[in-house]
Amino acid sequence: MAVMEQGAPMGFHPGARNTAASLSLIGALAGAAIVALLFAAPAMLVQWGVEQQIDAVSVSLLGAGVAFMLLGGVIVLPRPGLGGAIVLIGVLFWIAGCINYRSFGWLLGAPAALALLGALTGMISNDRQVAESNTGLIYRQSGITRLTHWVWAIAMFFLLLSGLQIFNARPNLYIGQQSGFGFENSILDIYATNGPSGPAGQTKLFGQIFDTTGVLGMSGSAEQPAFTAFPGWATIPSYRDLATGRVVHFFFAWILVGTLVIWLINALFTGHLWRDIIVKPRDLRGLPKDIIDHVRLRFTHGKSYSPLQKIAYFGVFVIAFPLIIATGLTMSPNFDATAPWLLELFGGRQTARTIHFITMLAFVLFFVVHIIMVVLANPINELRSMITGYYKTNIGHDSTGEEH
Amino acid sequence: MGKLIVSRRSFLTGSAMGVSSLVLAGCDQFDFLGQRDHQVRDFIERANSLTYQAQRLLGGQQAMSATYSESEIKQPQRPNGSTDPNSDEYLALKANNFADYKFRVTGLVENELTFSLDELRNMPSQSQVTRHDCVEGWSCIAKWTGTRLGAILDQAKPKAAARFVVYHCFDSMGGGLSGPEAYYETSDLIDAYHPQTILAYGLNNETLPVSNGAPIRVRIERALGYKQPKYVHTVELVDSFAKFGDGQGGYWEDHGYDWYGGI
Repeated sequence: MAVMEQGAPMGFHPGARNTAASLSLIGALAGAAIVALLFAAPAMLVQWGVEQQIDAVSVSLLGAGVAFMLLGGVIVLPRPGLGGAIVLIGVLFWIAGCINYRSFGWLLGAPAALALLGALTGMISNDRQVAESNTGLIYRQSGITRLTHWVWAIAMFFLLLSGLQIFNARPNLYIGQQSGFGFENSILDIYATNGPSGPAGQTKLFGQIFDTTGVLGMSGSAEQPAFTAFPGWATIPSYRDLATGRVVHFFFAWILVGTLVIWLINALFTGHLWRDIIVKPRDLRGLPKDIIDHVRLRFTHGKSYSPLQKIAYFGVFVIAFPLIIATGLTMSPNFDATAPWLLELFGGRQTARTIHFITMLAFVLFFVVHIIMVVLANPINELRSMITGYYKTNIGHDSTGEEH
Repeated sequence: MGKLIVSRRSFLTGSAMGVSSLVLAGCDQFDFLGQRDHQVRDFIERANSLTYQAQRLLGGQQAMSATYSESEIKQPQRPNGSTDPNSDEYLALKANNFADYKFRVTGLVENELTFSLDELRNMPSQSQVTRHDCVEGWSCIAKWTGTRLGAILDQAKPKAAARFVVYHCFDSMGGGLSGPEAYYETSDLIDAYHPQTILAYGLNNETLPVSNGAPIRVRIERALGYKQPKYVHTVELVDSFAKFGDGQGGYWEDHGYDWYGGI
């Protein structure tokens, strides 16, 4: 990490640093003014759509956001990379405060938007300068890749939690066109039952019954048990509300599909899809060695993905995303009229629903592995490449950083 | 170097704190989306119109819903929602086996029409074995017999201003603070005129039972179950459904469900 330390000569791109500092500090000051008003004179903000009294947690989160934005906004002048990262932390705190305060108007959004632009300007201009001195820092992730990555992360979060809400309305999975009420074609059934020691949650999978009290079928406290398939902490909203679950699910489904289309067009034209995602014989030949490297936690940090990475992203983009979208559409009675072949392809609407659910599980598994690999490989470097696009390839060859 | 490690750690800790504060508080953090008039919900609900427009664009007006062979009818049609209306009017009609039942076509039409159940049964009939998809997630295949709504609307001659069809029903739902609310539904004219949209009086080769909507249930095959109103007595052509119920276009729509109901 000597690279980041030495940075680029001051004044090399003074414009970018000044822009980064200005945006971050304006964002921070605007944020400070809003927090002060929320505290002292909330009535003045009513015309901006801020209605409710502010609570201590929201104030703390928003205040921490302002503090980080201020700190980072100052540091960004001498150290644009570090300063930008600190401003970014401030933005995260600010957004957390907005969510906790449940207010999302322009007023509360503006400081975060300004500071985010400032943070990105600082971090990207820093990495651009560092990369010019050719120290193993390479430009690896395009702007489209980075933007779509974070949009997907948010969309998949909401799709998962609203999807579990929708599942809870009929916590069974079936094989075939229809759901068996007068016959048996269920492979999964999550329910509450009255056992000898009171109510219990049970899960029946392929005929095998498991006691899942506390998580599936029955959750919550002994005084206030909740008899839902997936517990309230895993659903949006946390209480039973299929209508809202559907509103959230279909909104983020459109976000997901829209960004996928943008990504796909870009990936086709730039060669990203062919170069980095499509698994080729060369990747399969390199697979055994890559598996051994991964098992020994020796990760390569090259310009391109390793064979296992390629297979993972191939699975996500070429198999899982198309599958979860197509099975989702198969559940639509109107879309089935438009594309009846979908019913043939998946063997019926209820089978499609089951595949949709299993693909969701695959995405959850991918997410867990994805996070573990980021943490094991080098979280700063991986996060950096998904924020600024720049990635250090010579890790393990120099003697800095945490991997030694 | 020391400085750098601190910066790394501070970055990691900071991000971890920022993200985990989101997650920790996340249990009920997004419950505000359930507030029917929240600005964010209003915004994300627009995706439903997008779905409606996109599916109409892709599917056109005439795409037919999948039909099945009779051998795929493996169970009785599952009743859901109202299964036994108890209004005086309905009970009186039921006691008389619906001999006095009248089906009315009103609203923005040239000719207001009234039919008895026998008259409807004597009109050209069609049967279709289709899959009923409930918004809850389950499906059930059954054979529905009835007469095309489109042909009846042709007789009534909708005026140019007519844009939607309101289906008025005998049953009521709910019984909470607001008391029971009359069930009603609406559709666009495309669904009303669709070749598979029928006034069904038969189910699985028998007379439509009360639990499934006797005497008449409207089948809009390309939509979810809540768009298949039971116990229908009147269809009314309108230019806007804002004045019915809470103005969202149906009982369930008034309770937060999407008007389109095609997905």
